[in-house]
Amino acid sequence: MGLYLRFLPELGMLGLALALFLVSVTIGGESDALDERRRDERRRTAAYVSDRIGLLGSVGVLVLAALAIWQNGTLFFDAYRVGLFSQLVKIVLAAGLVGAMWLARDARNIPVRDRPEFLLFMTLSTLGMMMLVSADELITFYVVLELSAYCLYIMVPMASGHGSHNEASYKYFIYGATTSAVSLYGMTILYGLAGTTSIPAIAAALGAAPSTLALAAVVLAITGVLFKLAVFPFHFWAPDVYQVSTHGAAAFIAATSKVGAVAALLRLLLVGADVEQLYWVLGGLAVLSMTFGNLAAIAQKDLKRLLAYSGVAQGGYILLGLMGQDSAGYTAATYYTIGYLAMVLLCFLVIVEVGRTLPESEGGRPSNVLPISALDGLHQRSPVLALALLVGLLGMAGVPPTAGFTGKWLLFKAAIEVEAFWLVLIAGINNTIAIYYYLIVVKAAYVHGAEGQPRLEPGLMAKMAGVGVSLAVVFLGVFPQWVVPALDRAMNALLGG
Amino acid sequence: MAFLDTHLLTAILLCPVVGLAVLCCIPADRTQALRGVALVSSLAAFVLSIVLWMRFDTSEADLQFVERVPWLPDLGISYIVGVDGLSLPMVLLTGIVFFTGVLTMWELKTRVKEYFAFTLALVAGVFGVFIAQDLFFLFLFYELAVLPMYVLIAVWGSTRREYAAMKLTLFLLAGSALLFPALIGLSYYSGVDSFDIQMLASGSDEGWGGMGIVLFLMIYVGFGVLAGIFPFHTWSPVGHVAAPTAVSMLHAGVLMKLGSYGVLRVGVTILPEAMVEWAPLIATLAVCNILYGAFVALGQTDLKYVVGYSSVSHMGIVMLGLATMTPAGISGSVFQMFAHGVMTALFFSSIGHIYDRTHTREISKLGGLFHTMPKASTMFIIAGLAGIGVPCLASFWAELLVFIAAVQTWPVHGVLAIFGLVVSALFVLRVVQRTFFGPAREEWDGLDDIGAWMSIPRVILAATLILFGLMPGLMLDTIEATVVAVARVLGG
Repeated sequence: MGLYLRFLPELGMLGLALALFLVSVTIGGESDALDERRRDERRRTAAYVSDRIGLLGSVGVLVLAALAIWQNGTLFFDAYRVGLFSQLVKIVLAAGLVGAMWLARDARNIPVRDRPEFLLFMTLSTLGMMMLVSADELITFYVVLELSAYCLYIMVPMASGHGSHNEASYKYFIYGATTSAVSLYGMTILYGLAGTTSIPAIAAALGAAPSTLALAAVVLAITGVLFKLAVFPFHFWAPDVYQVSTHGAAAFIAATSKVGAVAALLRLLLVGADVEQLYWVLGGLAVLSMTFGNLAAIAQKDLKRLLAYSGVAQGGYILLGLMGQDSAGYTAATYYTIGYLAMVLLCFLVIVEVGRTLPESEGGRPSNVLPISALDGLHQRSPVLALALLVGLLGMAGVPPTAGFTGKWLLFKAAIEVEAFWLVLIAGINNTIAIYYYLIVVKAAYVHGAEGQPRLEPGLMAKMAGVGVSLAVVFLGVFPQWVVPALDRAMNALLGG
Repeated sequence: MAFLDTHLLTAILLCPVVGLAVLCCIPADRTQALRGVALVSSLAAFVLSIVLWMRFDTSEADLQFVERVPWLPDLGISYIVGVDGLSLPMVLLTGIVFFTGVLTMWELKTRVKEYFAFTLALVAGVFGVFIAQDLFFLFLFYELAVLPMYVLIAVWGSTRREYAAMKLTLFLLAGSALLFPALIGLSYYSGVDSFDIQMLASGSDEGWGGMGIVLFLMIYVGFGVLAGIFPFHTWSPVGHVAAPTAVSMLHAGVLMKLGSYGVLRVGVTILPEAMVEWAPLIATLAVCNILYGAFVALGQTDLKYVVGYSSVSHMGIVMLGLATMTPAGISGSVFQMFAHGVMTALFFSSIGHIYDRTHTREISKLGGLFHTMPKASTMFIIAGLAGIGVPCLASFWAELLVFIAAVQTWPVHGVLAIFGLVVSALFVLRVVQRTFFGPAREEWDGLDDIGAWMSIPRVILAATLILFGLMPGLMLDTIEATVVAVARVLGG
């Protein structure tokens, strides 16, 4: 029984994936016996049913993940570690999936016949991330990393219709496959150095290994995860992928998969606990990433591309917390990531709602762009969405009283405590640059008039979601004591065990 | 009353916050109700800040009305609020300017709900900074006060508003970029591992190493940007000119004081030894402010630019007072923050009225306004006289104290600063003469003066200037005990 309880969230996720698969092959299954009209009808039914199953099922998984929070121990011959850290992150991942499922409902530009599969891949990818958080052994880690990654690779071209402009998908896949090969190479060196694939055992062995080789191995091994986090110089795919995928898929990649990436990085970095030079590598990447991301974001005209580059910069802030490899920094990074998830989902809520008013295709090709100018006069067209956008953007900009501000405070504090004062100063300056482009979006929504813009009528649920998540971002920021002590305990357990 | 005393500051902070929450629930077309909510919350804050001032024990140098709630004890963050002689005048000032600002904007027609919502958020931030005694909360409120300014200016402003709003926000946040590491660094390098300002201030200066000097400079420049220190003042006149009337009042009256207050509260009390090291720089830049502001104001043709640059000049007097490090100088500095806040609020309030009627602020186009708008003109003239330090008005005492202390501590700087005051007398009198006196002009015939209802805010502001001008002891007693303690640490 204990085994099932410890594996409960993953089992729930697997069940959901199975349900979506069944919908796809039964109701949505192709049959030559049916005429075109009937076939179309069945596809629509399948899409409708899978949307509902996906949303309700992910809420169910969220409940299961919450039930399994106090589980502790190992599974599968010590390859799989369940603890407060992994269980907390699984709750966040499930919540992220609920958000992404909801944003992806009635997804535009995904052919109706592909919708059940689209949601299936989203679910399987989340399952991969959930297992990634618990993977305590390199081969397990690599396999589930690929599980989550391949599902994402497929979701991107699905959104762009049939065969047209698949540049981004190829880019994503080829970069992804290459970095994961590099990762694998790093892992083999780790194995060569330590003679084991167990993460704790490698960590213990690396202290005695030649330091240069150990550093190289760890850096190579984390490449695959840094790619998922879209940290400079592994970010090239992000802007194109965000722009080309349908809004729901982009939200999933931008929000939920970032949580998975950060948690996986935390876990994988455990192997390098005794590799001191990692401090400089992570610190250097942090500075490059935030500087490059922020400077590139300034020039963007498309909100999704802007969010992609801002995501590169946010990855840099998160690395600041990881560079010390201590529990304060890990707590800060996780807290910040949770807040970031909510803020990105808020922005994508607005993108999805505003996106509905834009033409579905352009020049015969499906269009998933969202120019910033489409937000003009949002304060008149929908005050609630304008507020949601304001909270989301200002949260990312680190403006109080949001989780973004408190998270940056914790991150900067953790970094200063490991003697990275000047890096924090650079991060502070970067924050000022970031404010500029966030304010350009705020300006479109709040200062520009709504003349010539299509009407916008978000449903009641969308409004409630906007207000609810905004309040959550503010409450998380003002009352961090609800979350931070728990994270702190989780990190101490993770680093101690 | 014990309950009231421990929660009075939180109650003041909650006035705008609750007002904001209620405001969000009222439909945007119910303008009268929206205004009512803003008025009630500002009146409540105003009354409570007066109650606070009445109940304040002037013989006590330490914090009063202290409330402590542990927030994240492991990380050294607590919600601590309290006031002493440095912050109480600022709380009172905010109460006055907030209330009169809401009244001044009573006739606003466009996007009333959002206007008051952003104003309330801004004011919550300002109150928060003045009462917070924990660096985390101080910085949280500080940033909260800065951001709404962007929307307030960009939406409801005039002349080049989008440019001005962006410039202002970026300047102020560049200041924050320095403050963010510096404030956290204070806790780390002091070895106290807490963000409690009192604990940091009572810790010894040893062990800071060279970092104390660096951190102080970062704090001085970071907060100083908001105080308009030369050469980081350029956002300020542009912002004043673009902002709508009440936002200019809040901006020049209260927001700039956040900067000088921040230098005093965080920089001077926590790092007194670094303050002594940097005092020559602070004094020199302050004199640059005074002279530069005054001379540039002399050449301006737009009424708001004149007041904007005179603010730059007057904030120089505040910083010069701090740089003397003597009880008289710092008292004068704090008093000047208060007096200048009330004075500029009055300035902008009357300019707002004039601009709404004549639709111009060009001094050359105006003239003879006293004939048609005697009340508005009188208000402007009172503010102008306060600005040049005419006796019987609050600024006189503040400037007198600063100049006496400055001549004693920094003779050359002091004399130059007094010369700056002469220049400002020149430009104020010139503006007054050209705008309000001279022959009546036909085009201004029939313009209405300030009505009975709308004169309430102006009368409150003018009365405050006169009250503290006639009885400066009321304010100086409040300030004195704390300032003496601060100056003792500085060795003055």
